[in-house]
Amino acid sequence: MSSEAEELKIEIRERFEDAYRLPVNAQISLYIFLELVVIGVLYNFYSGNLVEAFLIFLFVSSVLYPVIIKVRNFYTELIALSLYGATIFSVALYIFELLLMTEGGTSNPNVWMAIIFLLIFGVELFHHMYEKARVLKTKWVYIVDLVLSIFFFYAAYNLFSLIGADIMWTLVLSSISTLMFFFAIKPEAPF
Amino acid sequence: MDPIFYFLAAIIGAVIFGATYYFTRKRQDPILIKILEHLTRFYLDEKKFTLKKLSEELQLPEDVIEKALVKLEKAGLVMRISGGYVLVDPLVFLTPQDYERAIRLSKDNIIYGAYQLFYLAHPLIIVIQAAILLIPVILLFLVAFNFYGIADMIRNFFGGQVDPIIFSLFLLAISILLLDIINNFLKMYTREKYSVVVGFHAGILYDTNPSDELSGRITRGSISRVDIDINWSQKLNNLFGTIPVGDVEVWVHGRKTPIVFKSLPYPRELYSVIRSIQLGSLQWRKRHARELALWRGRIYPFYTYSKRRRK
Repeated sequence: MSSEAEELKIEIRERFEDAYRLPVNAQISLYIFLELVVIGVLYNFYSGNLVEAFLIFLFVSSVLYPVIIKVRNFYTELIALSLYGATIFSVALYIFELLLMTEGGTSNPNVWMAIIFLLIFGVELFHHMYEKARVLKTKWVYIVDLVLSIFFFYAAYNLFSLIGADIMWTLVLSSISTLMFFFAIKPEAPF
Repeated sequence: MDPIFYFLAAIIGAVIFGATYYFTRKRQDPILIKILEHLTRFYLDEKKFTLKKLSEELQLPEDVIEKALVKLEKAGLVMRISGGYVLVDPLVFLTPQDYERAIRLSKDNIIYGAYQLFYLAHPLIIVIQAAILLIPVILLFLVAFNFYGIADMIRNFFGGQVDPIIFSLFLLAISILLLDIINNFLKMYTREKYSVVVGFHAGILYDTNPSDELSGRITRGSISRVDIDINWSQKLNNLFGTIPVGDVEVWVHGRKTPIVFKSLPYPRELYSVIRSIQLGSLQWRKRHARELALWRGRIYPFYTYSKRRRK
């Protein structure tokens, strides 16, 4: 037994997860390969509409990036957040352009649906791309979550009242959906 | 709008977020690392320390130590208890409440603790979650090209009030929210039922039913063999998911079938931990405590893309 104990060498790797992930060059190659596939598909279906093709490309790149690239360092996180910034700004501009063509301003339910979409999409994509944001429990994170939830409640309230729900149903549905939103975005335990 | 505006918006967004991250991210926090090194050298195995004691030993002001301890507490490396703090073992993936419960019930140093994350790689759960996400994506695709006149149907259904694309995006957002909520509930559910803990002397303790309190016990001496089994869905999860998982089978003297712990995080590390307590060889913990703690806390400069072996 003692010789076994002596021979037992547990190799603790710098990065535990390396043992479970694809090699780094395989991760990068796979990501580039998938990006090229996406470009090919978009060229086939969206060759006449560059804007939508660009948006879909950014969105798919953002979703795929943290799934494929599992290297954790300052540079990969910097790329992730830059990609997030590019995606969210482009999507926000698209929504804004859609709404500019919509009549009625804030009395049009499309406006509030778009705002709700941006709120949810923005926060969830951020959590997806920057894992620490999902688990970080600081005072400022809770304050930001609360502020976003208040915006969400306001948008949901306007949406439900515009589609014809009475005041009671509007309040109930807005409250339920806001609670769901807060529960989804609040910091969580990683395990 | 001209596509050039979208390219500009993307560049501006990338620069703003990238620059914010670059300037706010602390690339190196020498005080955190100094404190962590001191703690992993002298306070491993849940030895209690206080703010005052640490301040005297490190010759640093108490408020500086306190700020650092708050950060370490948030990273899950340090836990506040009555009368002071203890260093949490880096291979403990439990909530603070469950970690305290494990220490209280085992009366032992906990060197590994985790929940059996069955939902992470269960094929049925993956299919359900994929369906929740794919249905609105397919709807969006159909609406964008007006296949089968779906866009017109949606427009007519709402009396022309609602734009079909915005409605599809709205549904997509709701499905993402639903997915997140389902995930959170699954996490809460597993935390109530399926924890597994390995103690220095106590062996392996685990929950046997939902209302259990770690009554399942495998002592060090009764372990005859340990095996890891990673099935195809766990393998896929390990390649592309957030937490690598695997089944760990523990063979006990006198039993024909192994006790199987399903979908535990970092199964290879658990295998090493169980083998170590079996053989009474735990020096690797002290030797690598600093690296383990830095890894667990994701504290720079731990993560570097380098093939050099760290000495």
